[in-house]
Amino acid sequence: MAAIRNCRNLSKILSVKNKSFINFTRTYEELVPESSHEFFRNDFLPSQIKYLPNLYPKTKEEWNAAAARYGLHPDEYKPFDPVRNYNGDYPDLPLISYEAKDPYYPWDHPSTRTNHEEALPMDFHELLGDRQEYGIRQPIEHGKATLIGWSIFGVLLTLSYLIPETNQFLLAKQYPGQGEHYTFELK
Amino acid sequence: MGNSFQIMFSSDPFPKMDTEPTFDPMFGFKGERKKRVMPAISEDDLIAAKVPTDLRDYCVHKYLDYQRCYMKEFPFVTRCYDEVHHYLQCEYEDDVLRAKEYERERRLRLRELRKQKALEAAAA
Repeated sequence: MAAIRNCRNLSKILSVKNKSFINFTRTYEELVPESSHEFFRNDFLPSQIKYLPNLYPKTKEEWNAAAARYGLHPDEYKPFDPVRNYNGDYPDLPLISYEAKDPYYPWDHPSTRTNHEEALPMDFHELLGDRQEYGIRQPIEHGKATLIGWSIFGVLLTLSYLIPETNQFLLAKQYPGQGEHYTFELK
Repeated sequence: MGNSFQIMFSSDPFPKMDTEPTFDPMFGFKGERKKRVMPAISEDDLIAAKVPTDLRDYCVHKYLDYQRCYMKEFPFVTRCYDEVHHYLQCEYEDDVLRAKEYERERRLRLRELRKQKALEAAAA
């Protein structure tokens, strides 16, 4: 018992006794300085830059201008985290699907339930087609439905393994030249 | 269906699927059995016609007829109805013969078992 306890603490003892002398720390800013975004942005044509988000707002004036550009109040406006997920000044909006929006509101575009010049969330394209009910509570949850489907498949697989072969049993097929074969008629 | 359940729960010596017969083919017949006649087609012809090896059985002449008809009538292959029917009928009769051979093998095995038991009873 004592030996087991000692073994368990071995790694702790080793790391306490042998301190590492070299440590590396790197931050995101060192690897990708923010000026590089500006640099890559200039790779695009002016006709393309017009559709890109601006750089991350640093001053109060830039912040307010960005909020006005996306039609949001400066207090509502919240851009993406510039270190983890740099998307310039584009706002980090909640992802609300078609089904979750009010059907009786007079939308400018009723087919997508959006208004004219409304700032859309970054992943809006993922809610098209069969994802229009994202965020809505379902009668059978998606995980549960998946489980039900796979369990039905499993039951069928088990049955196909358990049920015996029901074909007519036959002896080996007869090929000419491979042994002597006879019919059931007499000469 | 019944056959399968019989095999599952019975202790009788059932032959396995696709096994060769183990008894003398003439045993138990009053006369001599007719031999199965091989269609008069040489191996070279079968190779030239690219017939798959598993189809080179006692119905291969009908198979060749139906293939020939398909080549002649394509794309109106429904005109080969008779040829296809004759080929399938031949294959069906081949299967019936195999089923009969299976039944014969099974009954002869049972007979062997009965004889063995009778011998043991006589000895005891």
